[in-house]
Amino acid sequence: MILVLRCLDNFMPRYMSLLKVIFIKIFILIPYIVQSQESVPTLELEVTEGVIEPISMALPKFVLEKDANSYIAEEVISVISNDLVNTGFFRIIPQQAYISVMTNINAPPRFADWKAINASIMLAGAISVSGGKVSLKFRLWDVLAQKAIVKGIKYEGPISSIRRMSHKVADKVYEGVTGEGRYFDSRIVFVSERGSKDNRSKRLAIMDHDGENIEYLTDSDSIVLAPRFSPDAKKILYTSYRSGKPRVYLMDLRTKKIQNFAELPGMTFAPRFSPDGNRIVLSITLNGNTDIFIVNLLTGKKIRLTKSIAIDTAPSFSPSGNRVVFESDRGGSQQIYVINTNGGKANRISFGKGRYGTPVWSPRGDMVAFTKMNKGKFHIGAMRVDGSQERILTSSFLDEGPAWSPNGRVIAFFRETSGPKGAPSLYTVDVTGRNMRKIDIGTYASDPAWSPLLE
Amino acid sequence: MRAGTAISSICHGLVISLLFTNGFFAIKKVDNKPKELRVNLIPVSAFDAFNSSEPEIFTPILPEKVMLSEQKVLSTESSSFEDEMTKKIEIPKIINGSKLEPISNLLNNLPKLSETYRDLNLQTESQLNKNVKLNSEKISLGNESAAVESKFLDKPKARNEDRIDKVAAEKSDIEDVKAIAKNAVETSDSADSIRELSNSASAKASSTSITPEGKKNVAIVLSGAPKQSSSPLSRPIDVSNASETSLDNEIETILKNLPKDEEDTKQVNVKQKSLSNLQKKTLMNEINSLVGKYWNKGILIGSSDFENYIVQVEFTLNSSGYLIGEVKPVKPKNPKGRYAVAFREASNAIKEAGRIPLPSNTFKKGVRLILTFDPASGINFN
Repeated sequence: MILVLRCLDNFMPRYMSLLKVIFIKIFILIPYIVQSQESVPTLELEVTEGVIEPISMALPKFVLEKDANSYIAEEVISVISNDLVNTGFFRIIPQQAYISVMTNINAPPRFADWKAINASIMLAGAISVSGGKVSLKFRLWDVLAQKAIVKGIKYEGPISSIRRMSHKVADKVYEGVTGEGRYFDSRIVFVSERGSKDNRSKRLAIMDHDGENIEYLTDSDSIVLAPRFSPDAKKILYTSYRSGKPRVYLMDLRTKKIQNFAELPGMTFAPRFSPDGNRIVLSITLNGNTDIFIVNLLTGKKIRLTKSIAIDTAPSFSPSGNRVVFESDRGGSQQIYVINTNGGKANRISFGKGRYGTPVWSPRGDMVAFTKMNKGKFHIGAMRVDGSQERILTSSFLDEGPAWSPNGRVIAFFRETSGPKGAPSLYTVDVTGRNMRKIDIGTYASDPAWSPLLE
Repeated sequence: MRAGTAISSICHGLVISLLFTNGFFAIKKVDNKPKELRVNLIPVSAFDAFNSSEPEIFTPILPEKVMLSEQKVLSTESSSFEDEMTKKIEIPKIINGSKLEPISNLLNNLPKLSETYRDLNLQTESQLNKNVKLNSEKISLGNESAAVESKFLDKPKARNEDRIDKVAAEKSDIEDVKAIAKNAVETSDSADSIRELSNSASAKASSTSITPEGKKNVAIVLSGAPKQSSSPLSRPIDVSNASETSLDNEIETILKNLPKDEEDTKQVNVKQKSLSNLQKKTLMNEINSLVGKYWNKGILIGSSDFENYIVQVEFTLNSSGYLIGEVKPVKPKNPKGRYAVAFREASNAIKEAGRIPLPSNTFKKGVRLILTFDPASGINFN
């Protein structure tokens, strides 16, 4: 500024006095100018109230394009609606309430019409069928902000995969609205049971996360237990009594080919894959002592992780693969411990009343789900990996076998009813314990394991 | 010379344009001292308690009214009783005077009155009590009146308690994922062949040609979407003295509440004048309540680390209390992931709240609000 004034002084001495006055006035007035812009008083406060309720969602019929028919459209709407409502986060406004009818997915919706029915979000979609392929197009709108939460996405696939495409759409909606990871496009492997309580046959089965598309993987000749998915969801580990004693087997889900870990001695059970899929952790009972071992599937190398005279079992890898959580009665009662995969001392993390078992590390890595037994009741719960913030999510005669959903927000488990006619069924509960639902698959079911998100 | 003129005109032009653009000529008288409000963040319960005042149940006039009604009834019956009542009317005078007679002495007289009264006429006694009660009920003193009329006040519920319980109750019921049991079916291998188009391809496929949409011929049906209820009124701090309605206790309460000396009277006056503080607190309470009604934090608390997703937003209200411009994120400045969800919920709550009632003539230039949304507030597990 001084330089400018000096230049002006050289070239235009006449005007300098005037310019100086103007500049001085400007400098004097700048604070006033700034102040006038910021003279609005400011209030700060914390909003401590708030409500906990599902988001109102409008899910109008998908626009039918080309050869699409209403049957397909209704199926799509039904799957998406079920997926979202079952999360407890969404409430679908009945279609009879809609003012607008979607006729073109590429048109901006009439936000006022959707706001009038108290819709917070609206899913607009279209279906077209061409050459045996179905394509689903959709957009998710924030009605209040009048913005797209999910911008135009299109899925294509054979007509037989319409349900899976619908799950993917629901996943995108769920992810967009909640910010959580997806989990609808996933599968659950479980033990299907049949027969009376004292003579029950068990076989492995697999289904979509919502109980559809059940497929049986083994026959009912031998007892099977605790199936676990590989990280790529293409293989499962499980325990079978086909040889007369519990042994771990590996099944390829595509070919149904079964492999045996013949080189492992004694009784082997409670297997689980490492996050990279190259190792498995399992319990081996040898000479009456049960300890935890890690087996490298690439090299066949076996590492003994625990050396306790107590029963150490139900191991589960952390998402990083560096630690293992397991249950042990080394302290006198059944409790949960964490140990590094390179050995060392196991640290107990469960300190509540009662006994703890079947710990499972969350895919997020922040929590451990468990079964708790206290005062004659079974509970499914979750706690931080250091044992803090224990949450009891369920309570019944027998709740057991927690398994995390791929996003680490929902836990599948089985609940067995009491009495001579008691039977197990599959349930899901979210980590808040507020949203528990039964997966009705028309058969007794136990030992669920949730697959990672399908590719 | 030409160069000088050119430079001069350029400089003048620059200066004038600078003045115009900065609003130099548009500046009016500036309020140098913007009104400052010091705000203490306190829990709602503490605020309610602080905001409420101890009930002032009766004014000194009340005994006179009571006496008048009693006199009206009793004057036809007995002159001696009227004398007794005259004594009683003088009670405030005794208290206000320098010779303060112990209250217990005065109260000791009351049973005597009743005895005398009973001797006179039983029917008259019942009539007296009836009239006294009616008169006392007619006096309306706001919350205090309500406190007197009901013997037991309900314990106020926590703000979120009923709503959370309701949701929890709804969600605790087991709902079937499917009503019909399904038999085993073959898994479709073809499902694996689903493909998701790339962003560019999907944008082309579904984001082209935005055209206005038409049909609007469907009957309007009420959606049954959730509606909000207004926030509960504040309550008095202590209503224990006012929980009984019998005549004796009322009088006792009156006597207790009467100002005992000039200092007490001064204090009462000071309290009544401190309206601005009350306004501030009321305003903050209203904003908290109003915005909180639309802030759906259920979407956040499903996460195991939901307590981390605290967002701070800022927005400006005009003098009428309407939102001007957009709601802007303050912390974090560029929310992403779950923070973006938290910001969206906060922003939508502010928009849905609509007009925020501001005290008249207080914020003539509007007000800038900075709100912090903490999803962990009021949420507990186990």
